[in-house]
Amino acid sequence: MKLGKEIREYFPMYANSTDPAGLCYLDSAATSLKPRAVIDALRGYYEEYSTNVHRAAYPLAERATEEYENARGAIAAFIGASRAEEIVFTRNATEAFNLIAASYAGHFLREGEGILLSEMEHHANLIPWHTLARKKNLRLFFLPFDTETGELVWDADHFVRFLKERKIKLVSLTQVSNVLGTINPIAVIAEKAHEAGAAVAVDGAQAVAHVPVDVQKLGADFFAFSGHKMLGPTGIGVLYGKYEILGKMPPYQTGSDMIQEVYLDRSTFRAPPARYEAGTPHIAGAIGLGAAAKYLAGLGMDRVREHEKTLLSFSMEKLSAIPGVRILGTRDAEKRSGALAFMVDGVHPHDAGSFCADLGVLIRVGDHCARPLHQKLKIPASCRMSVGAYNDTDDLERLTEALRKMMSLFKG
Amino acid sequence: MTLYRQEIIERWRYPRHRGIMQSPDGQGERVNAFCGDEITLFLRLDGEKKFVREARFTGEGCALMVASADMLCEAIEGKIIDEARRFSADELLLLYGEPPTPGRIPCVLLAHEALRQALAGLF
Repeated sequence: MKLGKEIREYFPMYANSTDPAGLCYLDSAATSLKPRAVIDALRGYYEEYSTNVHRAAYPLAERATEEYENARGAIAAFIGASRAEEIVFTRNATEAFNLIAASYAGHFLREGEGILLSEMEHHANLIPWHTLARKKNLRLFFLPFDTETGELVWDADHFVRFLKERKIKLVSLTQVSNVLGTINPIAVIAEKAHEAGAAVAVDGAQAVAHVPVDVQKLGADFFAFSGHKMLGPTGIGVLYGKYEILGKMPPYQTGSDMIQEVYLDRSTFRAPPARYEAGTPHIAGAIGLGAAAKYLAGLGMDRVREHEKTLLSFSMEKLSAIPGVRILGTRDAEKRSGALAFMVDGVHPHDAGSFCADLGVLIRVGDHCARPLHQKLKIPASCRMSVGAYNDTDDLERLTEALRKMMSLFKG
Repeated sequence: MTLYRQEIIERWRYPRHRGIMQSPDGQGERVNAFCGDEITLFLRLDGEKKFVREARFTGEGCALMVASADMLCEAIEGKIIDEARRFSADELLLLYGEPPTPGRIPCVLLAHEALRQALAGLF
């Protein structure tokens, strides 16, 4: 099976587009389009066996439990987890980070100890640490990035010492920048971090739908991502955690489903992942996300990566040929994935976004929830196009044409 | 092409009312927290302080913000103060022409907020 145009028939948004020229969706870094397989899985749950999980007294509820747990298994397999119990369902990546902050860092880190982040983090992997650092008197450190290449700047030779001297106990980094597109060398960093006795959390939101992910090879203790950015439903996300670490952490939220014994005045908690899934979960969402993982696995993540790399090379070639367009980050497609941000000389990003939208070319403008990154680049906002498995060169031709038209009108 | 008709582009490139005003009678400053656009709008009244003799603005922002600020300054020059106070956000949107998408309405209305602030500080 091919990718790009060839799979658009499986994404109903294309057939339903009111644009006579067809849907030109270049905003998958914000949220992806959903394939019919995912929509069918949601509908299947709601129309055929919409019952609660983990309380089966009849076959329909057994089916709901089975499908819910099968989804967990499919997601575990998709990211290379060693067992399904390492997958905790959350609302999104943001909630996954809040869970790590509350139940891991909030519990195990002591006053004066540090957390290492980077200057390119999405607010999801930034604000929870601000809050926790204030509450527990923790120190936050930031790996800088090179404003030209968009790559993290760190000293591999002295990294272990750097971490130990600052008492850094947690390193939390994004695998792929949602603005610069940089693929960070997580595996190398994680190895050094472990040597220094620090745990490693990874923001996989921009990675899971774009590059093959193996959490064990990455050396991630935690790996967080959202379902809706990987062809799945909104409102469902995942926190992967190494089982032995999950087993030591206290609950995040409490209530039903996560308890073992309950008395009027006390209770005990279940083993992971149930311990972290209080209340009736987003059953349909989890089942839909399982379908998304299976769909992506069916496309083949190696092939998705190759396809997107070709599209990124193509777009960098096209965009850099337009006078006044400046690409942020590396020009090496090998080192980047998904998102490609750019500036247009003399044209405000919001004007560029609206102009493109008038021509049916859907890109994102703003700070993309990475304000410190933009502050470092001394720009208020940027334009960002991003690709998914269903994009093709025709989308990029339309973007190029829109930007050329805009330049002739605005600069004419 | 709806949002960016020729008049808008012209006003954005060559705004007629852009510039700093020394010792104005009224001054309003607004920032669009969403995108960082900022505007300062200045008013000068006539000798008897009855009508707006001159309106100017400075600031950095998108084409919609700049063009609508320019239109607003033009529209209120010559108005007696009460008329200027009655000049509503909807009237500015009408002046702008094609309705902007909901996300861009604040861009068009930033100058109007600055005007209200400038008028509020007059007396």
